[in-house]
Amino acid sequence: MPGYSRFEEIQEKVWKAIVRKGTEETSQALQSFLKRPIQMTSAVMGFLPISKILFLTGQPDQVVTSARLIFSGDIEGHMFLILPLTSWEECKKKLLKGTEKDQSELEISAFAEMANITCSFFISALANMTGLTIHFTPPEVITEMAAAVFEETLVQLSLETQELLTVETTFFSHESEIKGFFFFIPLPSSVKVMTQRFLEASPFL
Amino acid sequence: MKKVLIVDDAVFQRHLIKEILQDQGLEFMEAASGEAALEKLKNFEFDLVLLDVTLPGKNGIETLTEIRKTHPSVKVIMVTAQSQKSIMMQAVKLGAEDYLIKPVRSDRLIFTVRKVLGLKEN
Repeated sequence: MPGYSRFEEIQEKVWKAIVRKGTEETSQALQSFLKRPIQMTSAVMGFLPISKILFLTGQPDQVVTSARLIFSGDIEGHMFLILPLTSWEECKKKLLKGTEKDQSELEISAFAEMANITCSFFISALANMTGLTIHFTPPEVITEMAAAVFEETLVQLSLETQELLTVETTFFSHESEIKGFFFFIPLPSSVKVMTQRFLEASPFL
Repeated sequence: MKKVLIVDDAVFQRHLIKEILQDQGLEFMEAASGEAALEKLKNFEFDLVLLDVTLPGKNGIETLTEIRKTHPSVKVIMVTAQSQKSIMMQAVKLGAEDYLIKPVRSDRLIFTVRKVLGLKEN
């Protein structure tokens, strides 16, 4: 794809640095939110065929709790926070202990807050390092099969491209059975904008 | 007993703040929007408002501006996401006493609330 070759050249140095900074800050925020040590793996990023995105969290028919946030501004795209049900159950034990309120409302709200915090720290790091202005919508929380979580986004994006730049981060806690995924998927047109901003922000490249 | 109004559209965030502050000898009321907060301020007296920036309808900054006009003596602490940190300088200029970034740390929340309310250290 035109414009992507230059992106490929700079992504090792700049994009990885931005993602590393974003995931470092995000893991600290999640640690503070979940009140337990959280580690995030180094982000895996690359251009993936749309058909492979359904398998990013494991089996497409695995039921997960997820939040989708749509970002806009200088760049556009989608972010996802996804937890297998067992992990979310573990998180809830800590987050909602001792409450007598309506659990379902609190649970959705707690997951939305977790997604807000995760995405906010990632976007903030990205914006600080590139000067991009980025806003995002409130999280849409659903519990569904993994394939269904991605379906709407992929149908929408498949009108523009068959390959998507995907940033995939896994986080986990040794202290308890928590595993989760964070995805950052910009629109193809936004990849060009990011490439340009990365070059402007890093003239040494 | 000091009265605190917690304004956030996220029920979990309101729950969390109350849980952290439950042993501080405070009385709480909640509002899920800026409009609802202003209505509560008309009908009840508060010493402190913990005000989220991102609210449906009237946002936190607009609500703060209104509170400063109608209830100048009420203290306000803004609560915001990391990505909106830059708005906090604007909030402080508009008269907010302090601000907190989500996820709110328990020790920081307790310290800031007690400081703004002029309460002695525990």
